[in-house]
Amino acid sequence: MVVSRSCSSPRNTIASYRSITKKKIVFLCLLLGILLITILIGLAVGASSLDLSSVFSALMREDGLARSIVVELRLPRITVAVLAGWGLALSGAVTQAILRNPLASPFTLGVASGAGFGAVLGILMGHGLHQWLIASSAFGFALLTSFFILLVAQLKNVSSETMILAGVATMFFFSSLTSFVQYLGTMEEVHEITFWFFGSLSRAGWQEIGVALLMIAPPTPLLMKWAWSFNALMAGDESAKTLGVNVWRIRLGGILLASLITAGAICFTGIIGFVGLVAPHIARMLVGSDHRFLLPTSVLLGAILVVNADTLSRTLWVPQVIPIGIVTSFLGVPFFFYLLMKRRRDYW
Amino acid sequence: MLRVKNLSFQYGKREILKGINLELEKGQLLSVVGPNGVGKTTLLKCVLHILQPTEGDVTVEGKDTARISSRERAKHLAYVPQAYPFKFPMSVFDTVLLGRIPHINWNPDPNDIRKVLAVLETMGLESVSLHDFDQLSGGQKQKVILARALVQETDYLLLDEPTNNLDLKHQLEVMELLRLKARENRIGIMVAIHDLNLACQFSDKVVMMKGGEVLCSGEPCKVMTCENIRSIYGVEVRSVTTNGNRYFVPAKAL
Repeated sequence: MVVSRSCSSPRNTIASYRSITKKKIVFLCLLLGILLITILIGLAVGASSLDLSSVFSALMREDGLARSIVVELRLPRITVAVLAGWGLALSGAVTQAILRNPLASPFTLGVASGAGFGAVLGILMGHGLHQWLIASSAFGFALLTSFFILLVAQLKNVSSETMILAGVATMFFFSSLTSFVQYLGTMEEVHEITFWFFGSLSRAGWQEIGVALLMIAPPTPLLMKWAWSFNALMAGDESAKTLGVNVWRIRLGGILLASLITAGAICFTGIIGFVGLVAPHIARMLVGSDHRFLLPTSVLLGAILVVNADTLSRTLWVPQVIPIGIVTSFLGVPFFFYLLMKRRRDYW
Repeated sequence: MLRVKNLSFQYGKREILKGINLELEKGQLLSVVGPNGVGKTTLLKCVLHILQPTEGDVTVEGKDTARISSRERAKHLAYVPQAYPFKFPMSVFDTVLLGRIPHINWNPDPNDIRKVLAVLETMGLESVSLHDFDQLSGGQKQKVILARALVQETDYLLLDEPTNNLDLKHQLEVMELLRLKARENRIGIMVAIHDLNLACQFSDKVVMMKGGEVLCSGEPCKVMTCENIRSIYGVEVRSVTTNGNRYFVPAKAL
């Protein structure tokens, strides 16, 4: 499985470098296959189980109970799961790169909490009706938080640890703000916000999905285009500058796009923890630090993780649906620890 | 020719560099010496535009380096910093490949790969090329960063304390390699260095700095005198000459 360190005889460096690259591409295809299978399983299982052939026929044919279960109930939530995993993992990988900080993620930096508070404000103001209001409010607050963190990092030239502390403080600040809003709100509003914070994939319909897709998909190729700049940043700002990278542009642009993606990923799903931190690390252990491979691997792993978590959340305790945020952490944490122990390597 | 004209740099109100002038030809190895805090590192960073000089300019073959894009600049000037803040694991090969960034768009072509391999071979790093950078010894790390700067294929190479933290053998190896690369590849090399003996032995030209200014510059045997060293370091030294090389032995601090 581990592609990045399969060392071979030194004489054949060029050949082994090529074969490592090839292996990474094969590995990406493999992950894509796993994601597709995961999606199919997610479509098939649930409160009422279907076999694969009825899933396919439900996707093709016009009417019937199977179709309404698969296309109207499961397909939207699985699409949301893919988008959330994709967005959180990608913005996690990008924030880690631009801040050169292995602990950075939309959550540890408070960006997700900022987006969450923005979404809650949007929900209350629009009474859950207007998607664009929720999305733009989430994006606005995510951006505000990101720039604050970036400012702290740049002005004081702080260490990784301080940056995360600032992020955690920001996170608490936004939690308090959210609690305050809840305190002031009516019972229904409080219920809605609480439900939102558990993380739920069921509230998003196709319209919300469209909005989220617009926030997540267009920035992705742009960030991929910057893969080499992110690689250069690994070597430090000074080296990156002398390698011809416009450090400020990449950092500002990266923060902006990562905030947009984070907001898109969580504004209709609530807080799905951990994916943003863990998916990039798992990806790094599997394919190494070259962002040309690291970014797509993170995206696919994030999507696989959230789709699987969703399937489990619907099947573990039928007919209850366990909030997705809880299952994601239950699933991600042990796997992450396993990899951490197995590799015995110093990541931070 | 790399030419630094009347370069000054202020940090807040503190003047760090005052009217620096120097010239570096291709194929030449130039050492910048001076006590801690005299502005050697700042000078290198200003030449590379990591820091923006408050006054003066830097030209490469007559081209003002402030007026070209950073990518274009990266094809003329390469840098070996004093510290490498890698926080994530990266293989030696990938680290060296970073040096090709100014020349590649998205996919390194076979030519880039070959160049990386060739440099790794000449530096004896081929056997560790797929290891993690972090697993290497200090001497090997220094060589890897040097390799990264060499595959950048620039006309000029600036190094900040390349022999720091290295044992005697690695110090000599690195300096010999630099002199060889300067001659063979016609690269102009500028090093900020503490070791006066290495500077004297390997340089074509020495710049001695005092208080943010150039005290004197020229051939090592002409400018590296006991009086000049006493003047910039405040240390009494004696010089010993063996095999045609001049060595400095510190006697006492003044």
